[in-house]
Amino acid sequence: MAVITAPRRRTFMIAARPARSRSDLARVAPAAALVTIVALAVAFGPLLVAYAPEAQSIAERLRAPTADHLLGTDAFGRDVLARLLAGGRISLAIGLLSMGITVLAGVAVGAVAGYFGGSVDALLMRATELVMVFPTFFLIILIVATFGGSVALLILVIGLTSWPVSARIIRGEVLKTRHRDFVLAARAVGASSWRIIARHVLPNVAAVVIVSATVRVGTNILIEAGLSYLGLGVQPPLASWGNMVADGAKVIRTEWWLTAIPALAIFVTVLGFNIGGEALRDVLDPRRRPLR
Amino acid sequence: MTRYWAGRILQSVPLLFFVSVVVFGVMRLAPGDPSTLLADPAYLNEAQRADLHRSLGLDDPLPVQYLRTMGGLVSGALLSFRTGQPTTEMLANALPVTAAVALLGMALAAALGLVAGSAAARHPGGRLDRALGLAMAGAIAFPSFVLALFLLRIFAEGLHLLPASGVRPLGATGFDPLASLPYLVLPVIVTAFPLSAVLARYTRDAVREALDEDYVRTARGKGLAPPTVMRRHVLRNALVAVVSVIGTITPLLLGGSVIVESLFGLPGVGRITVAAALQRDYPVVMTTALFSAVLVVLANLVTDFVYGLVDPRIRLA
Repeated sequence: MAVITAPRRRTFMIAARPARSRSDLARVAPAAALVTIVALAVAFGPLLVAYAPEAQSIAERLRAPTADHLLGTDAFGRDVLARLLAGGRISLAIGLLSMGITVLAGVAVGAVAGYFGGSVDALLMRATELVMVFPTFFLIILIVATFGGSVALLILVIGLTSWPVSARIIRGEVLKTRHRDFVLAARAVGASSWRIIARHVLPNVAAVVIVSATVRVGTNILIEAGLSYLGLGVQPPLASWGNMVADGAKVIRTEWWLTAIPALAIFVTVLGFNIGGEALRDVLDPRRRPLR
Repeated sequence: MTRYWAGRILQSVPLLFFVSVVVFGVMRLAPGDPSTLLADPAYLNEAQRADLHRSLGLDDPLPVQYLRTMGGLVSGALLSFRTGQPTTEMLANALPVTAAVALLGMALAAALGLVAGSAAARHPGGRLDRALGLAMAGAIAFPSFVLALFLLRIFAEGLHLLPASGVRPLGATGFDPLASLPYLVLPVIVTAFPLSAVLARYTRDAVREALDEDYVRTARGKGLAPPTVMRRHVLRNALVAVVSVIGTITPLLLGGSVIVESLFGLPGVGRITVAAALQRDYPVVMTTALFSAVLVVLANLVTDFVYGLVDPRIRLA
């Protein structure tokens, strides 16, 4: 069976890397600051806002920002700031937990396939291809439309549909590691395969895992926002940034900020995770490689 | 060569079988009875309900239902639960819209991505590279439905330059590419926006890598003008890496079509899929889901094929 393989590209690590003008910390700092601010705001912010995110007040609908309602109120008279912070909790929780599933599944499949190779590898990679053939967003929509959009289901579905990319990346890294001397040495002294994977292989692919996990959070938040915008994700009255944009879009002609505020929250958060992932890649993994 | 491609195509048969079983399974595991969506059960007596159920073929064992669905799909006899229209006909009607937006979007994204990516790669770490890098990160992080909302507000409602929704002028029928062009402008821009950033990144990385190759140093050393080196030696080689992304991008395009089509009211594949999934119209969902899986498989095959064409080194090992 003939196989198409790309010729191995030689990379000159010294030449391929732009001169480092800033320290590692300075590279990661802006993104880390963005993400930390968002995380702290959604974690503690709701405690400081006087309004409940679901409390309606028809008398106070569609108010422009005032001292009382710092970001105004929406079409049901709900406090936008309260909803923004509560929605952020949901959006971030979905992004982080679904990333957790993606990474766990990706590491498990990637490490086992890469380390054991042979027929185990072939089998797992065929399975990975199977999942990849599904246009992910279509599949998510199908499942969510059929079973209804609960937060737990969203986390599960987004996580379980996005692991193949992680699995492939991790497998590639494990393949590079498994013939290294320290792995052979561990095997020579009689360590079991599982111990070698856990103690010697995985620590060496951790950098790649951390980088792809960081970017994954951003991607998953975007998927959740898209689904919630379409009405297939988090269901009102529960707030999420996606369904806040959908609510705001109905009055975009007059109260444009009701669309812009949650949109900005999505943008800033996803940007934070994405540039954070890139900065981490530069710091942890000197060989530049395109991120998916 | 022929044998190789025949093998590749045969390999995709089990993939598609798996997809069809999963889609069928998801739809049939769902709570609720699709026949209740056709007629309110409160108005039917027991016999009528059983009749309706039987006429939709929902009484047969699941494997029989599966086989009938798949057979109907191939012969074109599969009918939508809702409209009674053949599902393949519905797909054929929706396809030109989706294809036009996706292909134009991809072309625009490729043009923007190649230009931005190779410009950024010229001076790695330079001001332009950093500015474009930030713009790319921003474009990827910006939700495309928000972009669509504000474009609609500005160009359709504010300036009245472009139509806001639909694909054809009032009263027109069929799909006339010229008359539909203004309707496609905004959807194509929204489709291309995140894709162009993804492609620009790949291009930047590929060009950067090609710039470090020995043959580029040789070309420069023998005195070729920098634009010639770029065009003939760098871009040509970088293109190989960029082509390989087409396969990865197809599922993104299909996913994006759902959002773009529902925002701009385009009667495309994405929109009929969402509508059918919400209405439990199994036959339609099955048709569009399998179609999109075939498309992804094809995209991967085409990618490998084009890969071999643009880089003669990557032929059969």
